[in-house]
Amino acid sequence: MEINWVEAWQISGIGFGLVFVILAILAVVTWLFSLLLNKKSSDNDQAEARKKE
Amino acid sequence: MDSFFRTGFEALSLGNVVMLVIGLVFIWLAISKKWEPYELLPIGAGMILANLPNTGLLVQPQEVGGEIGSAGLLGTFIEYGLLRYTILPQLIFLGLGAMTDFGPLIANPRLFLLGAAAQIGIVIAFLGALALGHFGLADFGLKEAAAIGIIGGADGPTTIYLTSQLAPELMGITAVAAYSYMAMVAIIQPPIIRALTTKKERETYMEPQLRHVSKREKIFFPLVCTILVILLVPRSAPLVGMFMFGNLIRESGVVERLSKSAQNSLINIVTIILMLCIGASMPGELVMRKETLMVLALGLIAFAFGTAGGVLLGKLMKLVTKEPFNPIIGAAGVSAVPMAARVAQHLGQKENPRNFLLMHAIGPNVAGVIGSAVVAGAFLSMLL
Repeated sequence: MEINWVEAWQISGIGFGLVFVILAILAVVTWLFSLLLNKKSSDNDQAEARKKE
Repeated sequence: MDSFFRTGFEALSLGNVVMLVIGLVFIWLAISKKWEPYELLPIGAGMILANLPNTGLLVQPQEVGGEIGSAGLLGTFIEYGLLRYTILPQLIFLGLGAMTDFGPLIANPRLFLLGAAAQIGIVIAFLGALALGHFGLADFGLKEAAAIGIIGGADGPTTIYLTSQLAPELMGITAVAAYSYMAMVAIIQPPIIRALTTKKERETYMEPQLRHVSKREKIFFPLVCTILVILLVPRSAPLVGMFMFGNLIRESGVVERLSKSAQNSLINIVTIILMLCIGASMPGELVMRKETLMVLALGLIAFAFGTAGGVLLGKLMKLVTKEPFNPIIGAAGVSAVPMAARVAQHLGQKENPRNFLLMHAIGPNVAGVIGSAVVAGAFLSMLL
C-alpha cells in the first residue's frame, strides 16, 4: 500500500503535540483557577472573622 | 426437510469454532480469574452468539431495508449504537465522568503532563501500522493505522469510538485488544517500569496526603475543560463533552438522582449492550487473517511505549521538582482507569512499604483519559 509519509508524520506530530499543548494549558488554567478560588474563599473567611470580632 | 429446517452444524466453519473457544476462554477468565469481568464476560458471550451460524442475530436493519421483524437484536445494536450513530461509547463516557474524581489532578495539575506523555504509544503504534502497510505486510492505510494506534490510549470507549468512525471493519479486534491489554496492565507494566527506573527511584516516598480540593474547584474543572478542549479540538466533543457533563452532574451536588443513575443504571445497561456488540463484531473469519495478529502485536507495543513515555517523563519531573517525586506514577498516564493507578500503588508499596501512591497515580490516570480523547479528536479532524 502506498503510504504518504509526509502526511503520516504530520498527523503523528500534530496529534502528539496537540495533546501535550492542551494538557499543559489545562494544567496552567486549573492551577490559576484554584489559586483564584482559594484566594477568594480565604478573603471571605477573613472578612467574616473580622465581622465576628 | 432441508428446505425448511437447518441446524447450525452444517454452516459451522473452523473460524467459528476457534472464536467459540476464545469466547469460552474470555468467560472463564472473567469468572475464574476475575479479569475485567464486566467487560470480558459479555464480550465472550457476544463472541459465542455471533459465531453460532444461522441465528439471524447479526442481521443489520439496513441489510434488510428496514423490513419489520427481519433485523437481529445484535445487528440492530451494532448498526445504531456503533456504526451509524456511535451512541454507546459516548454514553459510557457520560457514566465514566460521573464516576471520576478529578480531585487528585486538580490538587496537583502538573500531573496532566504525565497523561500527555503516555500518549506516545498511540503515535508509535500508528507509525508501526503504517510501516506494515508500506512493506505490504498488511492492508493498513492512515485510517486503519489511527484506529490501531488508539489502542495505546488504553481506553476502551475511545478505541471503539475512533475505530467505528475510521475503520469499522477493525472494530471488534481493536476493542478486544484494548480491553484485553487493559485487563493485563498488571502483567505488562511492571517489567517496563522496572527496566526504566532504579530501585532508589521506585522507593521514593511521596506524602500520601494531597491538598484539600474545594467543591467550587471541582465544579469549575469540568466546565473549564469542556470549553477549552472542545474549542481547541472540536471533534473531541462527543467524548470530552459527555465525560465532563457526567462529572458535572456528580460534582454539582444538586442532581443526586441523575448522578446515581449515570454511575450505576446507565453505565451498566450501556456496558451490557456495548460489550455484547464488541464480542459480536468478532466473526470467525477474523482469526484466519494475519492482520488480526498484527493488530494485537501493535496494541501491545502501543501499551508498552505509552507506559515508557509516562515513566520517562516522571523521571524528568523527579529531576526538576523540589519535593520527592516517584516516577512510577507516570505509568498510570496510559489511562486504563483505575488498574494502571493500582499497578503504580502496588509496585511503589512493594519497593517501599511506607509508600501510598494511589492518589498520586489517579491524577495522571484521569489525565490520560482526557489525553486519549484529545488524540482521538485530533485524528478525526485530520482523517475525516
